[in-house]
Amino acid sequence: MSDVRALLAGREVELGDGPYLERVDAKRAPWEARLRTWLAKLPRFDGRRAQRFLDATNALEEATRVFDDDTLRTNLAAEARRMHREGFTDVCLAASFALIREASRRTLGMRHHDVQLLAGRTLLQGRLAEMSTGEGKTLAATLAACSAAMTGAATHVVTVNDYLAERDAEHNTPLFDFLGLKIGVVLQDMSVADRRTAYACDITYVSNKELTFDYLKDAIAMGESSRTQQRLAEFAGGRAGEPPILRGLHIAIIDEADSVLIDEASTPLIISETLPDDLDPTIYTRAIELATSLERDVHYAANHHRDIWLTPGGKVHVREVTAEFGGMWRSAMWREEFVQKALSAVHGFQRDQHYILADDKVQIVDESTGRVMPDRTWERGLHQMIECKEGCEITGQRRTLAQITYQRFFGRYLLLCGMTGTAQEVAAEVKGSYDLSVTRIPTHKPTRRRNLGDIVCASSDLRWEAVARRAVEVASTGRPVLVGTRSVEASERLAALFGANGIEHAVLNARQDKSEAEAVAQAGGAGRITVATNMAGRGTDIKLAPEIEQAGGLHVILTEFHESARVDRQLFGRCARQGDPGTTEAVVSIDDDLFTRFAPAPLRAILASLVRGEHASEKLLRRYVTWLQDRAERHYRRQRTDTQRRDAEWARALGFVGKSRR
Amino acid sequence: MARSPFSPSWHSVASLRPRLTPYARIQRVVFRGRPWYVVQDQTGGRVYRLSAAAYAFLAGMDGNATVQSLWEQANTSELRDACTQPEIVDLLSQLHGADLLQTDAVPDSAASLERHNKKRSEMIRQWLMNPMSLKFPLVNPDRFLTVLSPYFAWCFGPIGAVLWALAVIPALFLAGVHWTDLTHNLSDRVLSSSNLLVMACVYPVVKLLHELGHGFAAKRWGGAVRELGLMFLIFAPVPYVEASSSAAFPSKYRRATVAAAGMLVELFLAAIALHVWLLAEPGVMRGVAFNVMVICGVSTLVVNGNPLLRYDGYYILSDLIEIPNLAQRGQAWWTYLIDRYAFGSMDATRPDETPSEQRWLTVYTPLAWCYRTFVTVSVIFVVAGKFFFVGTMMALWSAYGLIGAPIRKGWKHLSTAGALHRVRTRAMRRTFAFIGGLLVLLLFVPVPLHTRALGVVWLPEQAMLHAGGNGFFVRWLATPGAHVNAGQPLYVLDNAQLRAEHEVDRAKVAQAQARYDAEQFIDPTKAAISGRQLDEARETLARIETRMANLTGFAGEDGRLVVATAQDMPGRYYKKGELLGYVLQDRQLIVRAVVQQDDIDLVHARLSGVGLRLADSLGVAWTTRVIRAFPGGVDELPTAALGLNAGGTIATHPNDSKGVKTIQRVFIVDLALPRDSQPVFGERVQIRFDHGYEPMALQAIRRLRQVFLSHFGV
Repeated sequence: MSDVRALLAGREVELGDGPYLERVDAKRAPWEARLRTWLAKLPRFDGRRAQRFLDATNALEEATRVFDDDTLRTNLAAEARRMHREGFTDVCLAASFALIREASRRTLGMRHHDVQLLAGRTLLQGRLAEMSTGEGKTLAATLAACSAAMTGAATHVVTVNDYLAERDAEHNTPLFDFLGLKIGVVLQDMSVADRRTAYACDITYVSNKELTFDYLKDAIAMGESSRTQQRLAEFAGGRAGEPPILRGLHIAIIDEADSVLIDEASTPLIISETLPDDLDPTIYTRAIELATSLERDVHYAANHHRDIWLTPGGKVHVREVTAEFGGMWRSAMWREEFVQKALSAVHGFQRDQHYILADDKVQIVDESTGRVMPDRTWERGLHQMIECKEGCEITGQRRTLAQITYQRFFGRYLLLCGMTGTAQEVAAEVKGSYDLSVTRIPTHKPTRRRNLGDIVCASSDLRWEAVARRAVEVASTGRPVLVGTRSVEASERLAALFGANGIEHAVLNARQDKSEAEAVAQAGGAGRITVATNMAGRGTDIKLAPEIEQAGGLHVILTEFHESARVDRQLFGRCARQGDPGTTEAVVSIDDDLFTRFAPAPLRAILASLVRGEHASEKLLRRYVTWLQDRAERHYRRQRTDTQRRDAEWARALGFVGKSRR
Repeated sequence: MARSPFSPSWHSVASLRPRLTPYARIQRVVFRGRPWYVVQDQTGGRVYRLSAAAYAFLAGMDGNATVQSLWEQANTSELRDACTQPEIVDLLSQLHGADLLQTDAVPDSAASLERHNKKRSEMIRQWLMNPMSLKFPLVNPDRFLTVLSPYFAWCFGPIGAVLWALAVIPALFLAGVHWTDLTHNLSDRVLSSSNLLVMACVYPVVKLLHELGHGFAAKRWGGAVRELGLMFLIFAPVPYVEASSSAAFPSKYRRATVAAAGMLVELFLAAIALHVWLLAEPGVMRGVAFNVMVICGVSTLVVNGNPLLRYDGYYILSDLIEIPNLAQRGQAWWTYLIDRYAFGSMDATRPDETPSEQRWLTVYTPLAWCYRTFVTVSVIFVVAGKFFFVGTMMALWSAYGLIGAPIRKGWKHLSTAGALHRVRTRAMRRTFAFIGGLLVLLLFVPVPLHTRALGVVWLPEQAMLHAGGNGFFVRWLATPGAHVNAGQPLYVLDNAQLRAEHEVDRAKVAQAQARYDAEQFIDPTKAAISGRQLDEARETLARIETRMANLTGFAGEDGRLVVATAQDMPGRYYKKGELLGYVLQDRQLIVRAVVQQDDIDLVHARLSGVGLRLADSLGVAWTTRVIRAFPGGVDELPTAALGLNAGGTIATHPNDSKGVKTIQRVFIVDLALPRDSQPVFGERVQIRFDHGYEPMALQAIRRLRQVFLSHFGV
């Protein structure tokens, strides 16, 4: 059913002996990863070959125009057979892409640009294509997806969320149908059987989380017997178990690869079950009560990375206060564990910033995507503490069944490739962790995005006023305005300000995610103001009416610099897409997280003394912010490499637990 | 890190059903009053120490109970904190790492293979890291030892002890009695080429007996010895045995005996050899005996017996004080001390050590480090002096092991240690401040720079009576010991040849005079010539007369005439310039200092003061000044008293019987004697030349350069 010959032709891939086709976990010494990151910085001389590939594809275009539909299909099938033998060589790709390009023109009415051809080629070479925002990544991916699927490989197009998976799949269905490829979409609340059907399709659109969860489910279900052992068991007349959900890890085309491979990869993905809580609920209430009564710097200390711990004095205080509680409170270890967790719950996590309350449940909001992460819970006890703090019903403890890091999971694909608009900052890390090289794809048309300069405010209140004022100013010229906020709380605060002044606006955040498609569809209207969290970042395509292009296109206001410059660039990338005009600006406050957490105290003081009220800045602020974001990125990068190193050490140390439990 | 009840990897182990491998043996051992359990892998001989809590957990592992249920069982008390999840995960992975764990999971053969490869590459890495001690396991001597051990068991009992004492104790006395014979010219005797050959033959035998001592001792009490191999210590092959199974012996004295057995054997051999050496006639037998003594004595005293190096002495010490893994625990303890007190980390886990253990660890670790550094540096110098290229490579290698690796480790600790998680910035800052401070101190803070030299109380030139010419001594004109005045004649020499020449010359003058007188009025032209001849003859005569006059000596100044052996002198022949006696005057003594060539540049170029101490009153320091410094170097000491043989510090040529020929050139500097000092002529003087101030690093670099120049010629 599946055929991976094309993926393996001409490449050296070590296959695992697991139940289905996947690559053996790469064993990388730390020095090897470091060496690879250095190599990633070397330039790649591919220009002439790329040009020859383009010429070859374009030369075939004339011929494909006259083919009838069936000839297109049979020719593509013939190309696929050739790829089985030769792999994804330039010659094969040129022929195959020319056919798919023609098919796309006929079905979608969109002909792939040259840069999209380049991107498609880059993908099938197993690299990361960096295309500027709004260059049509979705369409470029179809080239690679169709070519790979035609050869029979299970093609997974990985998106960052269900919304994008559904949207992209729907958008490209006519093309796939035309080529006779079956397309499946996996969404969050699908049954296992439906998922199996979706994965059985030639091309499957799926979000990274669903994909990884399904993989883990398979791993738990199938245990650690090898493919041969399973076959033998079946052969011997043993009852064949449930077939696996996935067909195997053949090729993954990751959209927004930096988000999936870097940002989300900082924590391992955990599949867990809920157990009844065997702890007395009063423990939570007492701990929260106690934590609220403790004083900062007397009983506990905290640093600006949300790390909170008890001071020696605090430990003594806690011991005295809890003396008559009895039970587990008598154990110093448990007592301090409870209070630590409670302190984190009270001081480290804020409602509407780190989580929201929905249906009387605590739901975690992912900061970089702005979306709710259902079924995710914080580690042992912390989630319950937060539920207790919010007065929700305390859910049971979660017991981990299996976990995997993205580094490990995606590393198992026979062919891994991806696209993103923002890869520059993380190129080295991607190379180090996944052995993926970044290829920069030139823009199709020169960008018409202009930055209008930034405004720094002395306080958060001033900032919101300035944001509101600027939004109204621009909207009154007939242009749509997109205001990006960092948290649900901030978006609602701004919405309230607009509401109080009677200004019409739309809000898009984790709480209002049902109306996402509608809000995005309308965001391009004249004079329209849309307040959105980072949900309106990656992949969101705001279509502009023709008259708006005359008025100057979409205007994007950034209200707070994110720790990652990539997230900011993604938000700015919502305007001036595919040669449209557009403007951006940042209106920020000096007490924003980025400044308080990552700026050294002296610089913070200088900035505070410079900024009184509002302060317009052309370049200096941006440079400062770039530097801070660099620092922040480095901080998180270190965290990620630590996690990865620990994961590797742990896998080595726990060699005795068998493969599937790791 | 504070103890945390949860482990993120718990789900991986919770459903496992582990048990110990059948070949693991557990033994209860009491260390410092606390019970521990020693788990031993009988095949590999390696040993792991477990706490009582860990043992309680381990005892339940029967291959049927899951880790989860065992954990719950261990924590049945209401507090539930007997053992935490991380502790159990650690315990299991440690047992797995030691190949002592069996589980119901299908073993991952790829992972095992990788582990095997890693172990091997680790070994190679260890060789590379430590080229001065390579280990090659060769055979498994267990069967051989088991067969023979009954015949040797008595050695490690009362009979053996008595026998040993009977041999060794008298030998100690005898060695004391014959100490000078034994040690006279030791280095020459040991390092002579013929002896080296004998030593090369004796050495492996002695060391093999040493190792068999360990092996039989371990066997005596049921331990297993499964590895015998060759170790290359500074490229010299030494056998070794793996006797760590003794760690499971419950009695600390037995453990210590196993560790000490090698040295006991060597001392016994040395004692026997001493008796042989005393009884035998000079010959091969005696040479062998001598070498046995040297090898056993030196290796026991310097290397094996020293607890600061990781050889037998270390194991004996750690067995006797009941602190196994002294070195590792010392390191952990010091890491904790630094994390906690230098960096103020509250998360640093306090190693579980009792106060008395803490005292041991606090003291032992730095001492051992200093000693190891010292030994390594000395070894490098010795080896590098002999083989320059190999030596330098080895020096660099060892320097990495001694300095580079700890720095790397320290940096890794500083940048990744969990204990410093919350105080990392502070820890970094303090470390860099400390290093910076140290560098400033070394590079910029000037400290007094001085050089030391040795001198003698000496006489000024004019106080010495030198023979004015060659001649036989006739007599003293003044009584030796009496007071003489300046200008007073003191002695007379007689030179017959000179006298004869004088006669001849006088005759020649008379002849020339006569000729001149004759021709003066007859032939003025001829007279002019003979006049010149007369002048010449007169001049020659005058020269001879001066030399004649020089045969009589006069006092240069007032003082007492001192002569060493006045009565022997008459009739003796003296060469010109030879010392006959002194005219001493209390005020006029000086100090003649001998400066080594390494220091002479400083003494010449930048001298800011001179201090001295006289040998008979070292408590009193005098300041003084340089009278004169001779620019050229000499290779003869003013007196043998400064030479190494006579108790001085300057190395002299061993072939020179007088002991004044120096090996290196030296420089003479004369210093004034302080007015109020009461020195005796010939007394030794300690001199300190001050050269102002200079930062320590510059001083060190100068010395190092000199050492390199003189040692290695680079």
